[in-house]
Amino acid sequence: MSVAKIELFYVAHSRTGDKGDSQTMSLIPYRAEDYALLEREVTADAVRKHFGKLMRGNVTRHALPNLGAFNFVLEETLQGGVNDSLNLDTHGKSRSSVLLAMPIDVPNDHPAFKTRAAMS
Amino acid sequence: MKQRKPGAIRIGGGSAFFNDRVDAALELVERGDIDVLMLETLAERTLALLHVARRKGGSGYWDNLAGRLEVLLPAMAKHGTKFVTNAGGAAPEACARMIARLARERGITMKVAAVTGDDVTDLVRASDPVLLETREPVSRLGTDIICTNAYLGADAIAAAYAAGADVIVTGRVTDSALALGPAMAALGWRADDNDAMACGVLAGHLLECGGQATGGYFAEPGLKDVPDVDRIGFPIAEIRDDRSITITKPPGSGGRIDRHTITEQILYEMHDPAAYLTPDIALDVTGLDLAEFGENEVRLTGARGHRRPDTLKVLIGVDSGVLAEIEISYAGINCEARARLAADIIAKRAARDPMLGNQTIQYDLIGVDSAWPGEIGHNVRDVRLRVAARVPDQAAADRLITEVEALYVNGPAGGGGVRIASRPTIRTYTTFVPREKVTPRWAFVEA
Repeated sequence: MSVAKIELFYVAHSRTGDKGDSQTMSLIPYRAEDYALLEREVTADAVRKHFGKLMRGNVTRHALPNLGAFNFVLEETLQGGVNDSLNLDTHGKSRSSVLLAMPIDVPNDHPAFKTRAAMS
Repeated sequence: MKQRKPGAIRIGGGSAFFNDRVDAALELVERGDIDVLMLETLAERTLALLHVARRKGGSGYWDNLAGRLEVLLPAMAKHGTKFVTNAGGAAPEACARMIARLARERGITMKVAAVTGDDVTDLVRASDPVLLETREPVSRLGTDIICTNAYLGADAIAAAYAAGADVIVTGRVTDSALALGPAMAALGWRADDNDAMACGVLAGHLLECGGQATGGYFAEPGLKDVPDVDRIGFPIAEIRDDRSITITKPPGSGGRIDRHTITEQILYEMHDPAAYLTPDIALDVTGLDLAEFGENEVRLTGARGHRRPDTLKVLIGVDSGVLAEIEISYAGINCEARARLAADIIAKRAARDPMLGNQTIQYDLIGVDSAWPGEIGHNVRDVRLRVAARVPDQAAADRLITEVEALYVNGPAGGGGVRIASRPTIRTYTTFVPREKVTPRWAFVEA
């Protein structure tokens, strides 16, 4: 079976929280069986690369197999935090959507492709 | 005291911020069969706003609270619902007196208590601790401090609840304490029972953002839909003495409770899931089990607690100048190029301006179809240029505003819809103080 790229958006959902100058982002697969796929594809390093210039600090990934979820902590993403940010979204709460725009490799028969086709 | 169900306490999460929906809070009281209504109203910087207002002769608590209580108090009296809130802000005692007065005027008998002790201005001034952000002592800030508040834990709330308070008003406490306090009193939990504290903190964590636990902040059209998303029911946590939490919402309300909505909210604003630090406990959710029961019911077990920190977190609010935000729209073919040219004009003129020359100015391009609504296919999208800067004072903000406004006549073709906003802003710094130096207190107040 070959692999193909699809945006994380069709495989998992996410919520962003902020605290000071760092942000937290959960990542929760729609299908519990995709946990291992996310564990492989969405590493802390991959997330840091994906955010590119928006990132200054470290990315930490906490794996929560019990909850079937991951929790990412992104440090120094907010231009000095809520305090100094000039962004329209001061808290960076819409950043979960930036995370979900990240392309990942999945088997080319993954149901996410059907979801994407249905939504476009 | 008596709860509705033996061995359990039912707490409703009635707000996530000071201006959250009153109808949903009222629904909790009227149809949620709850023992306690919890209203969380203080974000990191909003407490500082209340301190500023108080200095200018304001009340120091949320001015919209009285209007909300006009709606909520009679219902709470009718259903025997207790009420816990941090809406006291910078003046918990005055706020508690206001509530007592409101109740008396309506012939409602309520024992109202205020929790104080979060204001640690004197302690911090004397001990001059190092700030997390600057790694320097507070005294080196070189700017006027607006407020200095420690995040208190649940102990004073628990004591007031155990003493029979119907209403408990606090200033800064950790949000989850608004639920943990009543749970400790109702279930006889001791502060050194780590897993019990963890259970109460987790319940509070799930309630403190109101609708975010029940399908709010969740909907993705076509992918993760939320039923009746326009009338989401706020969450109810039934905390049991077996250290389980069952999350539900009022029957017939909109929204969605399942492992997806609850998991998003468990991890919301959580850094290390093995040690979510609160004044009451370090909460560990890594061993948590979630079980879905029927529709819109999730039971959580397995919250664990580790030793609470020896220090309390303190937020220091200081003045941070004026944030100016001005927007102007361009539409149609080549609109993006015109918006970029507009930004370039502002940047060049600002660089030559003595008041703006040293300021960081941000330029954002925003837009979909405001110029010709619903006709995106006709190549008439729009771009909205947003110009934002944090400047030392209103005079500098006004300079920037003038520059963007002048684009109307001097900028690129077809600019329109200028909107102007400027407001004083506050920034916060973090430090820590030894727990034993801070004394949370509570007392009943009279109208």
